[in-house]
Amino acid sequence: MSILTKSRIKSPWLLHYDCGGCNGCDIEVLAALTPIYDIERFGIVNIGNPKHADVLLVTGPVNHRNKRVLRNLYEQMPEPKLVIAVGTCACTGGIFYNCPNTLGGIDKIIPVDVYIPGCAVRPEAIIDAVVIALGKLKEYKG
Amino acid sequence: MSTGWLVGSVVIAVIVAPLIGGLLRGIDRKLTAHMQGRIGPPIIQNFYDLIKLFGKKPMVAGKPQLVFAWGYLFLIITAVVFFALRQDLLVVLFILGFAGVCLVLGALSVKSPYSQLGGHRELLQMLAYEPILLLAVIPIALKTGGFPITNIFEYGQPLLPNLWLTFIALVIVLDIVMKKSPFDISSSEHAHQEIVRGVLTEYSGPYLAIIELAHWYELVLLLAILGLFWIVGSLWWLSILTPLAIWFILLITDNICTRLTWSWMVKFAWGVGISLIALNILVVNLGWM
Amino acid sequence: MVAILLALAIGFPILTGVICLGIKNHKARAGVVSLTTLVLIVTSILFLRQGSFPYSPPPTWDWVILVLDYVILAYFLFVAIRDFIQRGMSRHNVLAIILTLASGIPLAVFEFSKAGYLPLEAEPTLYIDHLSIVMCLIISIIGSLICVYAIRYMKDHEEHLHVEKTNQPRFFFFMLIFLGAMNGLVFSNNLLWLAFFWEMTTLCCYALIRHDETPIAITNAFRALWMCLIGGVGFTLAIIFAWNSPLHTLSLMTIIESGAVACPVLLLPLALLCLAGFTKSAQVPIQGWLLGAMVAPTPVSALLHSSTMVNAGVYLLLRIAPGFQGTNLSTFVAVYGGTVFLVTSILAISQSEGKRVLAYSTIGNLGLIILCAGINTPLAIACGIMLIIFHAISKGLLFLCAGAIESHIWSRNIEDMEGLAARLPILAGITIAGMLSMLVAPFGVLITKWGAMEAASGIGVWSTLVVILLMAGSGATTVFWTKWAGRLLCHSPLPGPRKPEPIIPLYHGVLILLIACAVVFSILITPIYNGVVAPALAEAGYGVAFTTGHWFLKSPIGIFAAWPIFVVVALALIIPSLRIRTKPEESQAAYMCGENVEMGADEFVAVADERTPLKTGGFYVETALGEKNLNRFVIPIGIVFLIVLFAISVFPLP
Repeated sequence: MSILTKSRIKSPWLLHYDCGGCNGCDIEVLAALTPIYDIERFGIVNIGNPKHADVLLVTGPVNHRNKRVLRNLYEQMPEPKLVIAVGTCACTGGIFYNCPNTLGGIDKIIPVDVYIPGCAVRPEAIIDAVVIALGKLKEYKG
Repeated sequence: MSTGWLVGSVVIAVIVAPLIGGLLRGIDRKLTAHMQGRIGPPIIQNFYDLIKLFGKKPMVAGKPQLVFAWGYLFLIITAVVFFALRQDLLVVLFILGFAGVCLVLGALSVKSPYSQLGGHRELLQMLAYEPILLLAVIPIALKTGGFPITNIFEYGQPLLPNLWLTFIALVIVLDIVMKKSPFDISSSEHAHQEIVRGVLTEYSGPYLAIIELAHWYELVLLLAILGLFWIVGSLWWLSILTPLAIWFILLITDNICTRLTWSWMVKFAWGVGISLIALNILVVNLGWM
Repeated sequence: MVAILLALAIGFPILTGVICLGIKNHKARAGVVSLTTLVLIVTSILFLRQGSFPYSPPPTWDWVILVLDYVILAYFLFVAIRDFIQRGMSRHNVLAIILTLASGIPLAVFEFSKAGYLPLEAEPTLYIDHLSIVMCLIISIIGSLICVYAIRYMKDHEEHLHVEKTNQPRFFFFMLIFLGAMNGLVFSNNLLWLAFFWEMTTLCCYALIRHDETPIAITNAFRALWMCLIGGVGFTLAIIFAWNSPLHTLSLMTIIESGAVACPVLLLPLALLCLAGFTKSAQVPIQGWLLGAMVAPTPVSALLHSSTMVNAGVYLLLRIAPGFQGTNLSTFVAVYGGTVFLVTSILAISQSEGKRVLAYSTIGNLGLIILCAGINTPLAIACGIMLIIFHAISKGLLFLCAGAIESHIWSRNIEDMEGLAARLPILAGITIAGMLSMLVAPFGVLITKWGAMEAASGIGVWSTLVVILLMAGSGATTVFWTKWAGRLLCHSPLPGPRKPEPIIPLYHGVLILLIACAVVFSILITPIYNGVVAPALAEAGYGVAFTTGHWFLKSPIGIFAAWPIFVVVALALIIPSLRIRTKPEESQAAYMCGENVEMGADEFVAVADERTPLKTGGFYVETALGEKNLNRFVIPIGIVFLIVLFAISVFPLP
């Protein structure tokens, strides 16, 4: 494994975007930052700017209003980048499935690398998903 | 000093300074995590971050920002080299000032709300710390009889006992330059989210890495300037320990302080920092110290 | 030979100025102006080769000067009274009348009481040394380039204002005789001659400010007139006191060589000459006239700020500095210059009009030169002289840039210049380079600032105050220059359609020449020091300021290695700006919380899906640092300083 790949795996910076869920998953994402779970142990930093981020965490179902924002944030992340759909809503639309204002899972708009089902997901699951997603970087050819 | 020694010290400075800077940043994160009851990342975490950023695909927001990012890095390295060559301390600070101007111009060159805000705030930070930084050279020169760093080495006595007022003022400068709370106004050294990282907002990938690398050099250079206060005499090892102790105190401040407004910062820096140095210059001029 | 040179430097521009007055054809006038500038440049270089020499013209010329001096004063009285009648009483015209009388009547009483001795001579009448030659080079080269630029600018200016009948003959008349008068001023040794040329520059300045004849231009012209006449009064009194001193002389050289330490009575005339210098250089509290002078066409501002007018004041200060060496007056001058530098640098932060920023920066830099004169060590004086050179180049350049930008956007506001780097890359690039040449190492202005800082540290207890003023002011200059450069650079991250920049040879040519001068002269600072500054120091009786091994400037207390930094700047900024090519697919819009309008860079989606253009602006700190707020303190501080000036010169403390 090259030093660059290793560095990529050791340093995933997250951008967190809430497409409009119930906030349950968002609370769990933030819980992962607390001393109990301390995701910074793995070099993971929650960052506020897509231009600095490597991993996009999306919660909630995408809808007609925010699909533009979601796409824009995704586009403003430099390659290589990963997308994790956090929670059932982000995966499939969840309880909002077939609602006229939503489109369903975020994979309708942007490519998703890892899906974490759950309502709400547990912080351990989020950390696990990030680790799985990082495994994909091993095959990344820039 | 022989030419070989000088060349050696330049090479060491250019290669070792970023290693120390990166490690210090890693220790910073580790200690901060411990202070918050967390385990924190490995101390070489910032090297992983830097390599990762260099490996990302470039994403640019106009050519000027790239030019000024290179300018920022090269000028800071030049300042480090001039320092290692024991040149005029005032000239070293002027080069550092030019580097600061490059950082601001890089941010201001993009029509972006956050970047503009960060750039203007960085200007205010410079307004706050530049006079103190330049003034700090004066008492040193008055004591050692000249501005070149060589004079400090030839002076034969440690400076701190006489110039501790100046030293305290320089600590304020260090805190502002490091962008630590309460002075994390234009951006934050940590990856906090306020004004989504100010001056750095529009930089990404390799160019963000360049700026981070330059920041490491800058950090080490400023700590080295603090080290000059003990550099000679039997207690020379304090020239390494003192800056590190100060740096640790700034970490604690960072963790216990909130951010304060820019107007407070300028008033505090000009009021306290300049007064301290003024007092110091005055007592040196009057021959009391 | 030397008489011919002097005639060419002083008489020729006055002659061609008069010729311009009679030429109606634009091309012919351009030819005359170009010829004059060419002659002036060649003459100034011949002066440099000639070196220093004294010269006394036949006594007839003393009579001519004597008479013309009263003619100018009478003209001032005439215009002020005419204004009083036409536009009614105002503070400005009344003060102009009073001050003209205050400088004219004592002079007349003095001269006619000495009727038997008239004309009052001084041996030599003219004295050309290296300081004069430096000034002559600045006046003749930079002043000439500005005149060449003005040929095109005035055409654009009059077209833009839809002037029916061209006023250009009068304009170039005053521009050219201004250059002649300045050359006369820097060569004069007889105080009466100096005073005459001094009033002549006041006259040119007044006439050029009111050139456009708008009400505001006329008001500002009268403000400039009376404020400069304060200096005229100072001059008259200085002449009387100098003649009545034990030295009984009007020769500036004799006064300076004697010095105030040996002859304390000279302190008062020297202080009066300082006052004259302060008014000419628009120092606080009379900075108002230079700010008001902005209403004039831009070449006038460039001329006033870089190569003529304000330089006369600092030239006089540097000239008489050896005379007050070792007195309290010297310390006073240093503290005063430092204070002016600090307050004007802070005032400049709040200015949103480009030319006002430049004006405050000029006043600040002149304050810096005055500070150097006050520190009065070889290092400081050398830096003062070099600062005049580098400031003239950079400030001339920046005013001409402002004028060229104005001819594209018809605005002087910095906010309207946003993104010019994308629209007019060459012009904006030169402007930014010009700003950097005022601000950062290793350009000449900063080298001299470095020298001033190091020199200021060595003047004893007062150095505490002087260095603080200097460093704090220096911090403030960083803010306003960088902010302005940032506004010019600020443009959309996405590459858009670009129109090629229209190249105007007379604009771009002059600008490129000046920026090249700023760079080349900064690299060649050691030959400049050895060639002109060191001889000037020696002639004024100062010691050696620098040694120049390896092309480094090395003083006893410091060392500045300029050219290695130039190499780094070339590596760090110029090579990347030439080499870096941004690929369109790598370009990305600015971060706007994901609310960017698709494809559009400068718009975001606001409430109710409305496309809203992104607006950015500069930071001016108007409430805290605005003129309204600060001038409440600045003007009284300036007045207190002037009172102290008289106190210490009338009651000199040991």
